[in-house]
Amino acid sequence: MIILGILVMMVLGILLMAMLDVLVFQQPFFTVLVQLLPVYPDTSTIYMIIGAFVIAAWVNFKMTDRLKKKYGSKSKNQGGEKRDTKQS
Amino acid sequence: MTLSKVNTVDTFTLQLVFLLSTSIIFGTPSVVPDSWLVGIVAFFPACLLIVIYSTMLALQEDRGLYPMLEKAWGKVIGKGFVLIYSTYFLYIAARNIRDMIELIMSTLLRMTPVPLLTTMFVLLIAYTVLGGLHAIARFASLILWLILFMLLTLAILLMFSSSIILEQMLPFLSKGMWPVVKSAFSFSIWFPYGEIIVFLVFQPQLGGAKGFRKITLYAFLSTCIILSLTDLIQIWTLGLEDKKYSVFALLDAARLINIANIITRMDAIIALIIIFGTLLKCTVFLLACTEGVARVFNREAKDFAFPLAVVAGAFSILVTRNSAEHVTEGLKYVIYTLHIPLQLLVPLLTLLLIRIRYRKGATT
Amino acid sequence: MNTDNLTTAGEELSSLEKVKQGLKDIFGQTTDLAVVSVHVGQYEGLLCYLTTMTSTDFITGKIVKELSLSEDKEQLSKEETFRELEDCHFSGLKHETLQNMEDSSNKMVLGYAAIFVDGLPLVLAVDVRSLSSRSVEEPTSQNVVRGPKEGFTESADTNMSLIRRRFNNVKLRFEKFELGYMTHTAVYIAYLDGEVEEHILEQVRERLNSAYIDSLFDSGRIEDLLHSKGKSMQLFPTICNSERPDAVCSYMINKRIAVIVDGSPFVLIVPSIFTDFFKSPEDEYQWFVIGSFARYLRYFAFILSLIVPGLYIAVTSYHQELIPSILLTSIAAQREGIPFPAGIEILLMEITFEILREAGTRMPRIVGQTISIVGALVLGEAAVQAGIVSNINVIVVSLTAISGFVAPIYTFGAKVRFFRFGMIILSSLIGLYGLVLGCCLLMVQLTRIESFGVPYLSLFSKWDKRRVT
Repeated sequence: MIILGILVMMVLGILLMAMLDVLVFQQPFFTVLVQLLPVYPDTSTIYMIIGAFVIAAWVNFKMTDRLKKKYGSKSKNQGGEKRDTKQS
Repeated sequence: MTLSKVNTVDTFTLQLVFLLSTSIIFGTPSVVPDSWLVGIVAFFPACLLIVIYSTMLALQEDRGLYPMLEKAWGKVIGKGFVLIYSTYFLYIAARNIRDMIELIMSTLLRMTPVPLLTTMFVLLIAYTVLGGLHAIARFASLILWLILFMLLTLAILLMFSSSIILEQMLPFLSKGMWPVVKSAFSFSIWFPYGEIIVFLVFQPQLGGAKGFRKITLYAFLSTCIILSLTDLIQIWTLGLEDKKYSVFALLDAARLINIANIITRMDAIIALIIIFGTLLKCTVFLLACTEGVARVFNREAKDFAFPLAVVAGAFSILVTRNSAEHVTEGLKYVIYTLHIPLQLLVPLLTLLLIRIRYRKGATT
Repeated sequence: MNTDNLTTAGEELSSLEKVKQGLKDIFGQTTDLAVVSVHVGQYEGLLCYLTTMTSTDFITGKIVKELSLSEDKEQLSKEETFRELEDCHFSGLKHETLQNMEDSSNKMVLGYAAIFVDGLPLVLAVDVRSLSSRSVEEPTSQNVVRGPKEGFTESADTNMSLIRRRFNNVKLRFEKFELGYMTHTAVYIAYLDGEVEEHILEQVRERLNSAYIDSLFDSGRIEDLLHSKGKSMQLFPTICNSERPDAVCSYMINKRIAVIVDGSPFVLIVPSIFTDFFKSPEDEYQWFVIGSFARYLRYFAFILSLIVPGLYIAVTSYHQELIPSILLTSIAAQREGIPFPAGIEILLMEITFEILREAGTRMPRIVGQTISIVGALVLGEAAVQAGIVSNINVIVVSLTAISGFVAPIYTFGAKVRFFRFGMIILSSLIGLYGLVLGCCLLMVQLTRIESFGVPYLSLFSKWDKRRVT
C-alpha cells in the first residue's frame, strides 16, 4: 500500500508540474512531460526516486521487524514489544 | 497522546513561523514600489479566509480538512480531493525546498552538488515529521526566537552602519493606491496568508474553530507587522528601484552591513537562519501530505514520512529548469492554477455543500 | 503482629536443632553467619545474624543485653515471653514477627537478627543493621562555592535522612522497591505528596516494578530503565542526577521525583528537562542577576562547545569570504606549512584531548600531575612548534574543551561530545550548510524528546497552565 501511495503521489506530482510547465512554456503537454521526466540531463533525481521507493518498500514489508526477528536477540525484542504496547 | 492538543502559545508560534519563514526572505513580491503597504492591505482580505476556514471547522466539529472533504463530496470524490490536496502540499513543499536551495547556492555553496544538499535536507524534514505536531510546534518556538533575534540584529546593525536612509521610501504611492490593492489581492493573500489552509488538516490536534479564529488572527497580525517592517527596512536600505529588481532583497540589504570592517557579510548568516524556517515550513506541509496519503491508503501516516520526503526532494529538483522559470511560475501560474482554486474555491464549495447536505440531513 | 494462627507455623521451627539444620541448609558454609545460643526468658533460644551486616557493639549493647535482662523476669509461658520480648525489650528497634525459615533468612540477609525460641514456631526478626559507610562529605563531582557542602553517600538510609532533614514536612514520602533478582538492591523513590503529578508517579512505579535486571550497583544502571520511549535514538539524557541533597530537594519542590539507589551517591531526578542540566543549586543562593547570568553563560558555553570547531572548519575551508580580511590573513599565515586540512587538524586535536580527558579521570591521582604537564606542554606547545597543528586550532580545541565542562551535570557534557564530532564531520563535508543542518537536527531532537510526558524543551511552557512542570 505504501509503495502504491508513493507511486500515486509521484504521478500526480509530475502531472501537476507538467501542467504548470505547459502554462509557462506554452508547449504541448507531451513535450513538457518528456522534458520533465528525469532522464536527461540530470540523472540524480532518478536515484532519489529509486531511493524513495526502496524506503517505501522497506517500510511496506516491515523489513526492520523481520530483520530483528531474524538476527536480533530475543530478550531485546521482547523488551521492545513490551514498550510498544505500553505506549499504545 | 495523539488526542492531546498543542497548547495555544505553541500553536501561535507555529503558525507565525510558518507564515514568516519563506516570505521573510522572498519578501512581498515587489511588483509595485510601495510593497510594504501591500502587506498591510493584504491583511484585511486575508481575514476573510480565516472566516471561511473557521466556519468550515465550526460546521464540522473541528474534525480537520480531510474528513470534511470526504463528508462534503462523498467517499470517492472526497478521496480524490484529499489526494489533490496532498499533491498540492507536496508541491509547495518541493517549491520551498527549491527556494531554499537556490538561496544556499547563491550565497554559500556554489560548487556542492544540489542533489546532495537536497537529500540531506529532505531526510531531516522526514525526521522532523516523525516527531509529530507537538514536537514541531516546540521546534517552531525555538525558531521564532532565532528569526526575531536575526531581524532585530539586522535592523540595529544596519542602523549602525548608517545604511538606513528614510528618504528612500519616497516617492510614496507614486501611482496611487490601486496597484497596491491589486498586488495585495493577486499575490499576498495567497502567499503567505492563504497557505494557512494547511493547518485545517491538523485541527483535531489544534484549538478547533474558536481557537483557530483567534490564534490565526493574531498570527496574521504579527506576520503582517513583521513583514511590513522588514519590507520597510529593505526599502530604506536599498531604495525602491534596487529592491524591485533584487531576488533576495533581505540578503542584499544585509550585505550593506559594514561595521569597522569586522562585521561584514551578514547575508550568509541570515541565509543560514532561513534554513531553519524553511525546514519548519516544509515539515508542516509534508506532515499534512502524509496524513492525506495515509488517509487514502489506510496506513499509518508515519510510514509515509521518509519516502514522501525523498519524493519531495526529487520534485524540488524537477520542479523548474531554472530560477527565472521558478520565479515566474511562482508569481503567476501557481497562484492562478493552484492557490486560488485550492485555497478559496474548493473550501467555499465544500462549505456550501456541507451546508446543503447538512440541512437536508436535518430535515429528513 | 498476629501470633494467633500458630497452626500454620512450619515444621522447620519446631526445635532448635531443626532451626540450626535449616540455617545450615540455607546459608551453607558462609563464615559470617553467627548462630549463638541464648536464653530467652526461661527458655533456650537461638540468636542468628550475619556478622557482616552489623557490628559487635550493636549486638552486645542492644540485643544480648536485652535478652539477658529478660531472663530475670518471672515465669512466663513461651508465647508470653515472646510477646514480652517484642513489646518491651525490642520495641525501640524495628522488628517483625515471622513464621517460617525462608522469611527469616531473607530478613537476615537484609541485616536483621533472628531470635528463635525452642519449640515456638515464631521468629522475632530485629533490625540490627549497622554498616560502616562513608561519612557525609563534600560532593566530588558537583561543587559549589557558596551553599551547603553536604553530599550524598553510598548509604540510602543516610541519603534519605539528608533529604528528610531538609523537608520537615508531612507530605514527604519515601517508597521502597527492590530491584535486581541477584542483588535485591533497595531502591527508594522520594516525592512530595500532592505536589507531584500522579500519572508520572504511576509510570515511575510501574517501570521500577517491571524492571528485570540481575544486579544494580549504581543508579546509572536504572537510568536506562526509566528512560522514556525511543531511548536508543535519544542523544540527550532525560534523567538528571545529583550528588547534592539541596539540589535534589529543590527539584522535588518543583514537582520532581527523586530515585535513591542504595549503594550509589547519585540520586536520580525524574522527569528532567533540558533546563535542569544547566541549573546549579548555587544560582539560587546568590543575587538573582548573577545566578541567571551564570546560567545563560552555561547555555552559551554549551552552544559554543557544539559549534565552534565546526564553524572553524567550515569557515576556513569553505567560506573564507565570511571572515574579516585581517583575521583571514592571520589565520592563513598560521596555517601555512600545516600539512592537514582544517577538518583533519581539528579532529586530530579533539581526539587527543578526549584521550587526555579519559586518562585524566581514570588515572591514580598521584600521576595526575604528569598528565597535565604532558598534555599542556608536549601536545599543545610542541605540536604547534612542530608544525602539525596551527595555533588557532589549539585555541579552538581548548575553548570547546573548557566550554564542554561548564554544564553542572557531568553526564550531559559526555553526550554533547558525540554531537561535536558529528558537527565536525558534517561541516568538513559540506561547510556551513552541514553545520546548520546539524544544529537543526539537534533542535529537532531536543524538541521531540518527552520524558514521562513532559516535553524536554519547550520555551513557552511557563505560559501554559496545563503543562506539568
